[in-house]
Amino acid sequence: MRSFYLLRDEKANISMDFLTAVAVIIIAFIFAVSVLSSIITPYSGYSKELYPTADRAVTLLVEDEGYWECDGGEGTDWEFKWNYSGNYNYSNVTKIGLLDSNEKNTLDPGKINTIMENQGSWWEYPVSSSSGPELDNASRAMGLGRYNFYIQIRPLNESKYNVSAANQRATEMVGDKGDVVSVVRYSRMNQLDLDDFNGANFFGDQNLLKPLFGLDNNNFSYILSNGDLEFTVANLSEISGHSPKISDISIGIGLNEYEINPSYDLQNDEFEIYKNDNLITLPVSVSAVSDIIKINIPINTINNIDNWESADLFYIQLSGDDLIVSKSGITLFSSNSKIDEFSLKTTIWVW
Amino acid sequence: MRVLLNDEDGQAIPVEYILIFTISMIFLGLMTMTFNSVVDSSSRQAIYIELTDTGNLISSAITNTYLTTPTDGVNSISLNIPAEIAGTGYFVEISDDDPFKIDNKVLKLTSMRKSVTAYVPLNSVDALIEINGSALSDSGKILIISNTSEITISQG
Repeated sequence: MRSFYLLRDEKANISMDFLTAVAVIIIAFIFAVSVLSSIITPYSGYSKELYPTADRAVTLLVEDEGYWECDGGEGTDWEFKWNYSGNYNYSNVTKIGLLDSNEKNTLDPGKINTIMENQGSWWEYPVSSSSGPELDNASRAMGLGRYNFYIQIRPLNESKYNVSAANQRATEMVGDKGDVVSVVRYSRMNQLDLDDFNGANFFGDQNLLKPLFGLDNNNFSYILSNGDLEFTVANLSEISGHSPKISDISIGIGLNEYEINPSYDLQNDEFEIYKNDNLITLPVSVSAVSDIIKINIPINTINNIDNWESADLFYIQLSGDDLIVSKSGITLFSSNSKIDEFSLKTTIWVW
Repeated sequence: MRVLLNDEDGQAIPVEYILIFTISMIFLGLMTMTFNSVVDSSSRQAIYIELTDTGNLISSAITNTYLTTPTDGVNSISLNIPAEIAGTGYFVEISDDDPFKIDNKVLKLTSMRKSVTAYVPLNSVDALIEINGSALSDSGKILIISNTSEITISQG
């Protein structure tokens, strides 16, 4: 057999064993070098830059007021430019910041509610309803252009919100990603709570019997954060001694003496008025001292006043029969309101 | 041809040496090239990572400088940075190149050798204040000066 002959033939052999050994050593060497290389430098630049980027982003978010800029002007009240009155001016907002302009280390509830979704005393962003253009611009204006992110703001007091719901949402949104970093910052928030107005202390136009209420610019975030302006008037019948009646309600940002001018008279379909928690329409008779009148003016109605967000004060005036006010002047919401102060935890996840 | 195929006595020692030497040289060349390639790739990656780290250090300092600038004064920070990364100096600049496509300025760090470039986001601080300047790493220090309208980086 020829094959049998070949197996036994030892003539003319060359050092194949040597070549094989050299090849094996070289292949092992190359493999070792490449593996050692990947062990020595295991980190990608992307994962290493996640934490500092998230840290800077959340720092600027809670320590800066934000900024908007366009041909018409500039300012830090970007919350009125982001999605104001249904006008999407995302690109005019160059920087999103949640800091309250008037307080240190305090977040502005109006700014928070403008960008984030209120889930019942805790906030999150983005949510499923966040549109593509909105998310792109939010990402840009938060300085997180190339990254995916998710933000939550929660009260530190866990009795104020549903902790498990917030945790569940964070798990759903962040999921089981590989490289994810989270950074936390602590702040405070002052939330305005409009208290009852006692009729005995109303100010306004005495001659025309018009109680005049004023919400100052510093508290405009109340309107943004609640989506309306809701307040309660009590003790009305005592001030008249007769049978007082609210016949009209007007709003505006200008005053002539103690009367709104120009004024916008609210129609019944533009606001809600409750007497002892029952929805009614104007005119509203106030027959008993215990009658409580609650007025709710939605932001869409307030938006009928051009540039109200830039005014020093926003006014609401009641016109009535047999109403009487204590003296000339304005009843300021800030003097009757309660400020609910609480601490917040802002967490940002970036991947 | 028939003689060549059937000739089993012609073991030529010089030919065998030449053959083995040639094949060994080819293996050695391959090994050297692979080794250089792997080392070069690792070196580039190491430089990129270090540039990214240094860039983030500078970017964070810029953010802090912006947030702590007094309303009527100047803030000045001298920041220690590595003079060399993997044996090579580098250049730091505020650049309009926007690899992240978000229409914002970025911090660009370029190594002198191997031309490795790392971009680090400024997290839109440039939307709040003008940022300019550039610096070489030679001195191991970078100076960040800010006032209410501008932040400038320069060699410390």
